[in-house]
Amino acid sequence: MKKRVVSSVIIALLLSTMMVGCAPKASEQSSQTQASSTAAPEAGTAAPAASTAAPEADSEKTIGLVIWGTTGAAALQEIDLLTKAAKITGIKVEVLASGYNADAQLKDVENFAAKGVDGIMICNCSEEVVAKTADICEENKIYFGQFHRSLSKAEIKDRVYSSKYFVGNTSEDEEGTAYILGKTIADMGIKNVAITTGPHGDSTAEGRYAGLKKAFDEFGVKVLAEQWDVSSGETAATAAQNFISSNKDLELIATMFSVEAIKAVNTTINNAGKKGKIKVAAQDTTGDAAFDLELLSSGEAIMAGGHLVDPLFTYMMLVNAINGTPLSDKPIECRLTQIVFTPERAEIYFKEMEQGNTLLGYGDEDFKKMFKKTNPGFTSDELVKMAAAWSVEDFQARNTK
Amino acid sequence: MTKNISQKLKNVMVVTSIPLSIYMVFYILQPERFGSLGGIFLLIQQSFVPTITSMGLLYIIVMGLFDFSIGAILVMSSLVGLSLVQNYGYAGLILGCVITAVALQLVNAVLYSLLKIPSLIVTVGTLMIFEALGSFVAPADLWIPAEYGAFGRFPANVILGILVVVFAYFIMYRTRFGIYVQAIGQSETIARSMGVNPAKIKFYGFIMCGFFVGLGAVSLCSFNGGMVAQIGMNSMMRVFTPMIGCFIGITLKKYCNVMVGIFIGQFILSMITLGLITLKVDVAIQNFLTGLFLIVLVALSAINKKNEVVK
Repeated sequence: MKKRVVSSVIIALLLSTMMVGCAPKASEQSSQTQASSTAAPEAGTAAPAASTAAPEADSEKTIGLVIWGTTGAAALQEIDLLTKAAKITGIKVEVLASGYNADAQLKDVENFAAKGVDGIMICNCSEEVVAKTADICEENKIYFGQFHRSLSKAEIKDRVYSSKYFVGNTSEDEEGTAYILGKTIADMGIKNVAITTGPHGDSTAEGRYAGLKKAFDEFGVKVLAEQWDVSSGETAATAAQNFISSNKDLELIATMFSVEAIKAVNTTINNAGKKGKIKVAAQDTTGDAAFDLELLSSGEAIMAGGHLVDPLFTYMMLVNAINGTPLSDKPIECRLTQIVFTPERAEIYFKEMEQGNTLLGYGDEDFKKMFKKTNPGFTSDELVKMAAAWSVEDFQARNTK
Repeated sequence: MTKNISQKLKNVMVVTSIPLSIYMVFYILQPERFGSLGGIFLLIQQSFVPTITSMGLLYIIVMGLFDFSIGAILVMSSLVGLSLVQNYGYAGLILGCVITAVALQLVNAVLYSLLKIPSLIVTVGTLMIFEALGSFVAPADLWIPAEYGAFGRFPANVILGILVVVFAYFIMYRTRFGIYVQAIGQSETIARSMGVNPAKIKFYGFIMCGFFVGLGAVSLCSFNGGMVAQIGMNSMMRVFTPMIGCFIGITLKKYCNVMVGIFIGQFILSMITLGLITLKVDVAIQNFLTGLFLIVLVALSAINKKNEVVK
């Protein structure tokens, strides 16, 4: 009898421990929700005076954001951007983060669907995840869209694009930007490089690698070594150290995936006493404006990036659709061009676009412009044009009018 | 006496032959890119980073316990250390990392002792809790200022590594606590009959593990240059490299001191990774070959042991 009681207590404690163990997601969700909710007050107060105020009912609408993480500079900046847009559009944004794991991402989609959100936006880790998301969203009559991703597999694309709940996607020309980055590296006279990139199968990692490799092959830059599946500072530092130890002629390490990798690779270069001898190239920025500026101005780094604004366009597709004023009856494709930084562009980007009054180049007035409730004449073509035009020069032009 | 010396020589040959043969294979395949003195020296430095954490993990693995929360503890303690380094310099970094890691392992120890459930289950639960705590402490990534990054560079990284290995050896082989840890590892029943209190020693084993993991965090965040909080059990991946080092160390225990075996294990792993990178082998095949190496090594050791029993 005593044993039974003890066993029951242990099981209860075990279960509660596991429940507590599971708490991060729940608490993370609730904390994120809270953050968004506070940022998105009742529509009546949130909507600007000059606009047609979002009706009371709008405040009940929720968008579920399935993102890779809620920590780190990139995720934080993107969540911050959407939180600010949510404030203007009177929508709640809830966040679930599950890394780059297909099962976990689908679980997040299912959880959002079960919770009754009105829209889901996902930075999918594989295209198969989007096909399954389409099934879930159709079943639950939820609008959905992709950010930082597009679809390339014909079968999946046909399936997803045929769904009336798919609003579209926003992605960058990863391959094209990587090609420009590669050409810039070649133009600098660099001949021997090593590459780190993300996991195989990830369209971002594959696209960036393909573009860079194309440029290197075309302009005679030799790839001495490469390492895939580098998505943390630790793996990047280890890879960089291995590159340095095995390649005497190494002139540059291209870190094509993971924001953390840039600083880790730079630290490894400095620790190995190769500062000034080996440069870093990256198709991301670190989120640390002072660090990026210093690295770019000293000529120690070549960077492209600034695409963290990407989710805003998908968000606007979704918000307009769930409010009953869709921008189009067909999926919209927004394509951004990443900024290849020169010291001058970096100065404007990091000092004015990232840290000024706007967030990644957009402010409240821009959000209102993209929102049909406040700008009834806005069209999908204009959204596509806005995304395509996004650049330092576009920001300057918009802000000097 | 002569027999003793020849046995020792044989052991040294066995232990050195493994890294040496791996070195030779890669050197023959890539003589221009693999095996330079400078390169090997960097590998030695690289191997000390997981070795320090392995030293902590060893104290609980030896007693048949397991800890999946090590990765989360590394992250969380690094974040605390990095938060303090700006204001308190090296003292903030070291104390922040070590005290946090010990405190978190204290949580594991208390839960394990009170709940009396397998350490594997306890630490999977705490893994998620510690990850969440880390994301509250520092949602954005934290980086170490260059002036406090000495533990990521020679000679401080090597000095720290050697001191930790020596200290871990001292505790394991020259203190009563270490002897008890080994006794429990051999047989908990016999240890108990000898008057050892396994529950108490396991409790302190977690704490000792925390101490070394804290120092491992100092080494890791200095090597990386910083740390970012992780959620969704992503930090769990960080336990595997130290764990594999422990397995190799325990496998080589017959031929050398387990601490030395762990370092050699980490060095072998670093060498395999570097060798495969120089050969431009895909990461999936790198993982496949590393896994295969571990299985072959442990299997060979087991076969060797069986043959000795037959003799």
